[in-house]
Amino acid sequence: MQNVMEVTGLRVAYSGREAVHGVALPVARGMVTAIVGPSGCGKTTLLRTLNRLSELTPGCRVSGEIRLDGDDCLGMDPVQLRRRVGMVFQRPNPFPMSIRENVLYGVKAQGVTKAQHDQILESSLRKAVIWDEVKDRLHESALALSGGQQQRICIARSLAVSPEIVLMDEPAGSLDPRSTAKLEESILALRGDYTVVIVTHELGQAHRISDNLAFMYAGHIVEFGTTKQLFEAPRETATRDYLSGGLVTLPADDDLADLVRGGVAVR
Amino acid sequence: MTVYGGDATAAPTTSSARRFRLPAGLDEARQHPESLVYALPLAVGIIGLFVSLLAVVSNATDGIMSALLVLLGLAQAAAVAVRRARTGSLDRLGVGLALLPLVTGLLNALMPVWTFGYDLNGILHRTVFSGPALFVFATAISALSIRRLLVAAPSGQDLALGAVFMGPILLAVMGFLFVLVGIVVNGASKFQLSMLTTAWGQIPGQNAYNVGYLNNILGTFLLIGLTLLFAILPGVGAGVFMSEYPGRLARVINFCATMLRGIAIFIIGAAAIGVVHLADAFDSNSFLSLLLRGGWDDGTRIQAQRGSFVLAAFFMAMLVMPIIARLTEEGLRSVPREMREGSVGLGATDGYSLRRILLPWAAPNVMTALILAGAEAAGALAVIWFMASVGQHGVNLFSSVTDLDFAVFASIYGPRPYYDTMLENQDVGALLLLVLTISLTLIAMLLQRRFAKRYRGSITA
Repeated sequence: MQNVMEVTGLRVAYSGREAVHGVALPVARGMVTAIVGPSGCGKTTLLRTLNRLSELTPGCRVSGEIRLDGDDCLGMDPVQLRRRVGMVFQRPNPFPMSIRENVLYGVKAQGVTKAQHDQILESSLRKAVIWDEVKDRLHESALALSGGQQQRICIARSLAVSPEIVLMDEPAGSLDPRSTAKLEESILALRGDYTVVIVTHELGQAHRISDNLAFMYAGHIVEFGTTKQLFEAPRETATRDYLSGGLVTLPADDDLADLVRGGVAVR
Repeated sequence: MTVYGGDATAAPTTSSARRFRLPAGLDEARQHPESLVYALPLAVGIIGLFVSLLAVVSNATDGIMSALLVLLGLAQAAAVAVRRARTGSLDRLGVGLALLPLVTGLLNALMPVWTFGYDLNGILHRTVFSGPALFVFATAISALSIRRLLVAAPSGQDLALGAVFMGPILLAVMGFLFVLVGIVVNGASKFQLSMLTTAWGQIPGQNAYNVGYLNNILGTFLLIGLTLLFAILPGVGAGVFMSEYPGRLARVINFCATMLRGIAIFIIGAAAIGVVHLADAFDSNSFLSLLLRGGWDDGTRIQAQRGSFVLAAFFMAMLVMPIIARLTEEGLRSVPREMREGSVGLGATDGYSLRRILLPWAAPNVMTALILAGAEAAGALAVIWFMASVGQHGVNLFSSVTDLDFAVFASIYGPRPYYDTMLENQDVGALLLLVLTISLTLIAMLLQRRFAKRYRGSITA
């Protein structure tokens, strides 16, 4: 199968206020799919719904369909889903434990036998391109690492449970440029073995690391295609405006404008 | 008269030319020389504050009380008058604050030194009235004077506020020291090391008594231990439930915890004695009687008592359970959202997250809760009041409950031979209890830091 995940007609509302208005998103296996869009457009909500973390927020309602390898995600046990779809957050959130315990947290939670622990630890840290930096201090607290290192530990932690998809919510959002470069390096290293869906604010980053790109605006996915296509020949004027760094303008007679106005008010 | 603004280029040189700089407020006050006169009521106010605090401990201040009140009023009146003459504006608040101490001072001078009779079941010295009055007026006048003195500086308002806060704090510290010093001085002077190793009781064959607190100390520890044993699971469980499973049942538990904290401790003690009486119909040798009433073997048969350690601890647990539940809940609620989501996002079940992330994070709170609960159990006399004995027949699960608390009570109001031999030592028992509870609290503070570092990776609690 080409696509590991298929999202169709997904709607997400918080306490009756709809934030995502029926979106469709195919996630290609082994590739990096980026979601970009202005703040508040619903991209983080969409991402958090893909492994049903959005359900932790009281008052959240989800409808539509998400299929992971054909399985109905919204119908399955959420714990099971989260074991198959991992998450890396905007702010590095290592647990107050040693580096080793952090990486093996999910592994132990799922009851993987002890014999495999060392091997999983090393391979996950290598895949997140942090093994060389931490291999001599695996028993030290993960909180002593720098922000960039912590974030790569978090990536290693989510890789350790061998998920089918890794979701990343602006993973470089709180990192300096040098750490960001390292992080992008580790994301690129995942391509092929893992499927990554990443939300990012930084267009340059989306350009550098993603294969496919979705532009989201006001709760809709306005345009989806390969990154190259969206950056070089976007179909929608809104996509062109946003990706070229300008203000998004919606012509009065545009179909999209009607669509957006139907969902939320646009000035 | 004000010299604000002026030449922009000249301003920096004038300030740097001074040899030493006054604090900002006083610096500004210079530009309002008429406000300096408020230094007078401020000075008298500060003296008045300290004298009124001394009145808490001793009525020897009575000799200067009336004079000081009048002086305070006069100083304030003088400041108001000077301000009026210089600026033409009348400080109405100042006038009010000048009149009050003047009138109070005169009334105090006219008042009899001792108040007898009326509805007062005893006698009152007049410093009971003049002390608080002086305290309030001195605080208010000091605060107002600081405000007027630093009239041109906005931070003067904050300093004046500081005076308003400082007065009551000093009073509280004074009251605390008054109690503490009394117990420590009297207790330490009577204390003998043998009191820690001797239990109170008749010396066999003599009409004399051993004086000591051994059984009361052991009893306190047994009571604390048993209470925590009974309270920890339901307490932590209720805390977890209130924080992690919000819903109708959580609200009910929350309500119960609040109510349990809200009812008078005495009611718990009354309920406990009701349960003790359930065993009245049973033989003193039976298990139920031992469990509820407790007893001691006088050599021929078991003598029933009025309440065992087990029963007392059970009711004590009711008292401390809400503390544990609340602090556990608070600890769990302080778990950062990223930490919860990080755990859940890795496919951890709720139970696994609770065990590996949430409860360790809440551990400093739970630790504190347990130690505070222990201190509470050691100090809540009302729960065991009806049940306790002075503990001369030993300490075990089924013996009559006793602790330091009750020893202090009994040495003042207790049964005859105990009262006769222990009255002079009452402060020793209080001192021991004080040392015990203060050490528990100190341990709680230290452990909280350690646990926060260990389980949260930071030193913030």
